[in-house]
Amino acid sequence: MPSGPSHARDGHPGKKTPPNVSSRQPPVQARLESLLEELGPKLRSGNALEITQSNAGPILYHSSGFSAVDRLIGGGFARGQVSEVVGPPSSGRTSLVLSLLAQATSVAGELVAVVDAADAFDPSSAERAGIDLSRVLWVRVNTPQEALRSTQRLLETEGIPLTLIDLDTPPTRNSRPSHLKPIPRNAWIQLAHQSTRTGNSLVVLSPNRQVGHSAHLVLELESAESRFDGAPPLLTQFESQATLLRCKQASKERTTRVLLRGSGQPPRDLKSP
Amino acid sequence: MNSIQTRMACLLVPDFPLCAERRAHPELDHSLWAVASGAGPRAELLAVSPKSQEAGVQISSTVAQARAIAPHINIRMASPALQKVARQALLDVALSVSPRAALAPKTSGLFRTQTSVFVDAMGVKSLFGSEKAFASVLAARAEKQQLCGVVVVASSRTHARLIARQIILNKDQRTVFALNPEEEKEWLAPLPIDLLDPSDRVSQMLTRLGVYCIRDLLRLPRRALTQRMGPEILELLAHARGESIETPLAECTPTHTEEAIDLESPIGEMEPLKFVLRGMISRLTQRLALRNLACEFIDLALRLEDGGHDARRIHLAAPSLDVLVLLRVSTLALSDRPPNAAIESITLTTEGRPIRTDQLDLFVPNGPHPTALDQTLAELESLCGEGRVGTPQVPSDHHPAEFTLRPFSPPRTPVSRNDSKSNPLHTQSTPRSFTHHATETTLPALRALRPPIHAEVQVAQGGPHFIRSAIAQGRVINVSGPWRTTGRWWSESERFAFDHFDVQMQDGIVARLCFDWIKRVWQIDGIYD
Repeated sequence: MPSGPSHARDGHPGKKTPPNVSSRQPPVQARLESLLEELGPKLRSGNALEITQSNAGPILYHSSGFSAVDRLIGGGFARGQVSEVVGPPSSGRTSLVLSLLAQATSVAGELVAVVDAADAFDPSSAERAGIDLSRVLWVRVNTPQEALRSTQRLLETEGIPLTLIDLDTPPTRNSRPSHLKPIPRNAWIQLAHQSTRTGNSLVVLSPNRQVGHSAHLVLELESAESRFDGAPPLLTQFESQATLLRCKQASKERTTRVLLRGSGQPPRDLKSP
Repeated sequence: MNSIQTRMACLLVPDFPLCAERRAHPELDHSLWAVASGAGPRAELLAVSPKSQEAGVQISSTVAQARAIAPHINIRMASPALQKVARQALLDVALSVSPRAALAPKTSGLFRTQTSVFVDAMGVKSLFGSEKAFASVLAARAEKQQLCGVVVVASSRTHARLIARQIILNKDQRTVFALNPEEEKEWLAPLPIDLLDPSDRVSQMLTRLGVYCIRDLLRLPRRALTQRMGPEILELLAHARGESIETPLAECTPTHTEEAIDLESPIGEMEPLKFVLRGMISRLTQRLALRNLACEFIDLALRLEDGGHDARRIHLAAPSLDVLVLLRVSTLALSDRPPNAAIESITLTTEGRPIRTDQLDLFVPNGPHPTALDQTLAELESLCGEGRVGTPQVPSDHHPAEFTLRPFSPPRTPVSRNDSKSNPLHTQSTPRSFTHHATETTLPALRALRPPIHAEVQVAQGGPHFIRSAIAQGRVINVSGPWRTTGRWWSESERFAFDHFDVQMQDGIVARLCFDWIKRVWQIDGIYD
């Protein structure tokens, strides 16, 4: 049995380190500092990497059009995920999602689909919000089940990266929204998988949480304040508070405020009698 | 001067009645069956399935004879409707490989169960590599339509058909054959005269003279033959020599595609009808796909048991070849307005529309592929109903709730940066400080209520003071308006006059309240959200 130098750790049994080398070289800390100095700001700030990624990489978010909301939810509504916007009437949910659609259609030039189970989409209002209506596919479904099947079909269609499903069905005198059979929980799981697989995003607008744990993001809006100013008085200000209920990339800030302002003028085509 | 050598392909389907039936009833393949010329035990068998032939049943025997040999044989009466659509399908197959094609006229006598289509095969080498490859493609496409046959490429239609008949007569295994012009005479010489399909009188006279093959016929003096047999022999000679005048094939563009079926027993329920419709739609879409077309509408014609007829046109949002979508649309139309009696026969007719293609753009995000989008639109419309899927449009109208839906056809132009500047979202894009929170501004959006919700309103000092409705109720704490809108005063049924108020309720809801001066009712037609 050959007797080798068992204490050697560098894999070169015959080569021995001279004992006085460590005393000649600067200490590790000093060497690291000199290396950092050499590399300069590239390593310290990470700007170069950030810029490269922002130039070359895919856009990972749909901007909501509100930088405060985008910051709150970690950059925007994530692509290829299911997001949920919930809140009571007059909480600013619709304004937020219309702003999202406006960013997608008018700024990014993308196609969007609106699956309207509530039949509440107002084209005039959408146009005023800056949405390019020619890039909107409006699907006026009759039941939540039709909404589900339409959404499944749209998520499968390549080239429509954003789909909004509006489930806030208004009550009528004789019936409450609860008379409609809701979309089952497992369907949301399937939609989330579909969304991830195809890369198409789904935004759910509803009065309360429906998607459950399949949602990548849940944003709740509450009405904070509405102001009527001027003579004659006009609806001039509409303030909402957005609270992040669930987000996988949550920022530290959990709440922000969104201010919606009216034009301060009577609505177009309307005149005082 | 070199003359242009014509090349012609003949696709010949030998047992055409059998193929036509099998195309509509593929399940028959597993049983003993045959096609008879009519009803009753004395009817003649026109075509016999391979399994029946193995059992001993022969073509031209009677139904009674066939039943004596194979008691469980399934005898089907030849259906003119099925044969008609099968002939059209054969033409579609031919048109899928060449723009110039024509069906051969129906023949009688020995070859009455054969159907052939002629296809212009000039210049096909550059497209398919060789004439044999071209013939193989044609044969494969025909087989996919359940129209199995033989394809022969020769210098004329007559020669191509003669050789195809010979291949079938000899039960040759090959299904495609391309004959060089130089070899044609050698090939044709030994062929029997019967392949030229002479009349019975000429056939008998030639048999008496001991003339059995084309070689023998061509050796005889032409003038003497004409004197003895009349002018009919001239045509036969021209065919044999390849001198018959053949007009060039014209470009053929069928205006419509049809599928039809005569049902064995009347159908009065939806489920069996769906089964039949599915097969028909599947065959229809296969034929359209051959010519790279899609279906935009279906004309559905039904013959009913009570002698009546039912006809309807079923529209699709966009041209589609999706069988499930077309089936759903058709069954929805039939469920909405069922026919008055059980159905005896069904005819589906459509005009093919070109499938849309897309040109990618460097400056526009890739949209959906037109075909995929068309399928999505067709499926969505079949799901939600006609007129419920499309692009919203705000008309130039004073009515506050007016909108239209037009077919979804997204623009292929990049977003103009000037447009985005004019976007109201960007006019006040500077974040405003709002205590400790970042804020931005935009216009409050309106959620429309369709139909508007009826409200009971207490009026005080000329404005709403208290509201009771299904969506909001309580004291009004802020009010703006009224804003009056009137229009269409010239029409009694369409005129409108509204007074709109923006109201904030005690519970925080900000709604658009409306007093309809025509109906004299209060309504909430929108919620600011």
